[in-house]
Amino acid sequence: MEITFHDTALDSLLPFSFVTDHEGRVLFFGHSLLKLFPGLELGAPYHSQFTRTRPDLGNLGSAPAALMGELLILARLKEVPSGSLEVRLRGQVSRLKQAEESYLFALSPAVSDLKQIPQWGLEFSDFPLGDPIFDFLMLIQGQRNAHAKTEAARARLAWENRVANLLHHIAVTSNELTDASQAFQLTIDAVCRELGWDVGHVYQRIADGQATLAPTGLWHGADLEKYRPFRELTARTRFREGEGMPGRVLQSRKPIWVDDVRKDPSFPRRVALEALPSCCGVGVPVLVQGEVVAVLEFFTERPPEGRNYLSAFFEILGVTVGAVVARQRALDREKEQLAILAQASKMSSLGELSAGVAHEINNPLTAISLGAQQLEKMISDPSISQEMVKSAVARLHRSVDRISKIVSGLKMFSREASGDPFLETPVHRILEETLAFCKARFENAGISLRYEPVKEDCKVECRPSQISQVLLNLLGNAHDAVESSPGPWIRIDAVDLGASVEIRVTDSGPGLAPALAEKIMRPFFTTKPVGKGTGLGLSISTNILTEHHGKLTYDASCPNTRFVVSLPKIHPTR
Amino acid sequence: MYGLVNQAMKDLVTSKFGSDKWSEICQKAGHPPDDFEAMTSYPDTLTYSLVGAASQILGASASDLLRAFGDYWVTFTAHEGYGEIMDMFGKDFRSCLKNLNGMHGHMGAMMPQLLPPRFQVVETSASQLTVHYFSTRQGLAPMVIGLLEGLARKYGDTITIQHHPKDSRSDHDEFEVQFQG
Repeated sequence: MEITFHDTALDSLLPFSFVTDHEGRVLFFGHSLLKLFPGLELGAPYHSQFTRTRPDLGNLGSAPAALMGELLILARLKEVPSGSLEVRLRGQVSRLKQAEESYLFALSPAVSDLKQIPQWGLEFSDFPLGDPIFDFLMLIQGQRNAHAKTEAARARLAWENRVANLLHHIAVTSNELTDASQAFQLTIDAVCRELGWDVGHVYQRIADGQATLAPTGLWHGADLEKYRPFRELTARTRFREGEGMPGRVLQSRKPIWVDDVRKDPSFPRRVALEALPSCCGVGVPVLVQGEVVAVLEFFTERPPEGRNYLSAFFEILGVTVGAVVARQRALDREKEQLAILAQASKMSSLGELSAGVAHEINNPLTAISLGAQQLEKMISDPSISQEMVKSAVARLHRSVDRISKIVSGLKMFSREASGDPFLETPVHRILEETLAFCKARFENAGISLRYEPVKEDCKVECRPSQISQVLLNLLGNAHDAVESSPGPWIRIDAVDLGASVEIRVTDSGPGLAPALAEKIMRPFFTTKPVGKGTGLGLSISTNILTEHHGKLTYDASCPNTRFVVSLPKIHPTR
Repeated sequence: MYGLVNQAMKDLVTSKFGSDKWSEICQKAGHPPDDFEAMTSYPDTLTYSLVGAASQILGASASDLLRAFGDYWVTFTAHEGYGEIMDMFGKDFRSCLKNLNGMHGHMGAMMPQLLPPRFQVVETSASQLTVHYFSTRQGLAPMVIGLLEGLARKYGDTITIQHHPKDSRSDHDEFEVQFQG
């Protein structure tokens, strides 16, 4: 058969197509189709070279005219390096106008993924520009790229969220802790647990006048046997600035990564990790006002995920933990200052009480003096019986006991008590011991002191000397307020409210003006003349009661001047 | 230009100079320092503003920046999921160059507003070819130099390029590419 058909335009625009005569014998193959199936033969019927999977024409046979108007799907096996695969062509049949006895099988490869094209031995240039299938594949690829980017962004967002939550957890939880070591432990625990690091440890800077980091007992993963030699070596190893990973962190104030510490000559502890197949390490500075106070170090056998983002995380972590340490240090300083102030205030109260105390001691001293004179007389009087001497000596002992109690009370009152334990103490004992100090002072000033006895079983958990300090302060203020007024009196009583006790100090004054009541608890606020009051008494009293989970309030509903000390019977931290 | 181009510039600057510098550049160019939508078309003026601002803030000439950007474009697009497509358009440096127009033509399917340049490749000898570059956009010839260098490296070729800018004698830029070794 002589093949005469050729059409350059057809070959260019439909390179996967072919043309047959009315019986289906192929007159022309497009160049891309020949590239796809090099074994195709001109002159042979198309149906002997392809399997037709659609349309199913039954007895109508394979005549091209019968296929017109239908979706045509042809298939042929193709040899590829991995074996053979079935390649399908999709399209339709048309009669060519310029040659009515010939038919155009306008086809395109049925591909669903751009990756198939090189697998079939084709290139993009085998497809005409604007080919709908190829364009569709490009669109799909664009969508896949966009989807992949979205998925990557979502995964990164999830990771960032996880890490942000971790930082939040560390910051919030650490703030409730009372010392830096607890915050360090919480941090290394949380980081190892959440980010999958095997081991965490803390080096702390020591105050030796030089930049030295000392190991601590703060570990996460300390139970891992494979890290035992490393733990033991670490416990014996200190670093100066610039030495080892912790020392370099101390010097640079930045996190330092070491991909494999076993291979790092500047990691002296590497000898203890040689048994591991690999060990990535990171050192993180804990910064307080720009100074490194500790270095957190983490180690893992597996390379950590998201290293770029982790670097930023570790920088923030160091600052976050540093802020917790700084806050705890500030709180410690504040506590020290408050203790110093409280002690100073107490000593000031003692000064004010000294006149009354002198009076209290003077009475028994007078009794001792008189007793001693009496004993002298008895010695020279032979009629005095042994019993009378014994009685006189007993009186002397009682007076000495009285003085001893006052001195003991003074010692108890004057000592710094902020570290004392909270002890269950009868309220009446606190009130009576407190009043013993100031009774004489009130009597000397002509102030009537009214004390309502409190039941013996009414007790509170407290630091007795601190509560005594609060009451002395309130009584002292009441003394100063009413001493110049007519008919002055001061009353102290206690009310048992079940779970708590209210101790009320009331004086004969008319109460505070509202503006004054508002300011009275503020530090350094005083109504007393310059040089007489520090303005710290009520402020310190408030702090003491806060530590007791109690409170000090001014009772504006009382027609006289009344301050109320409220104390829980059981200290909540027990 | 499509957001993919601007995003590539952002990636290049942030990877080499940090995100703070990119924020400065965006501020100078009057654009928020957000990511760009790869498949969204942005005004050409934005891209030019970013290049201008980057030149001032980084203290590099726009020409050097564009050349570095062209080089980076090859690796960036591969990383962004276009590597397989690019691989289909050429097995080596020469075939890839010859297929650039076709690749851009097909890329138009997913980027309907794409206004790609046109390239004509003439092999002058076994070790030399000339790339004729036609574009409606001005001033991007240095980027073509970087692009040619990046493509050559991708396929393991070492080349030198001589640039003949368009002038009164020629309506387009030409690049003489000499293969080494």
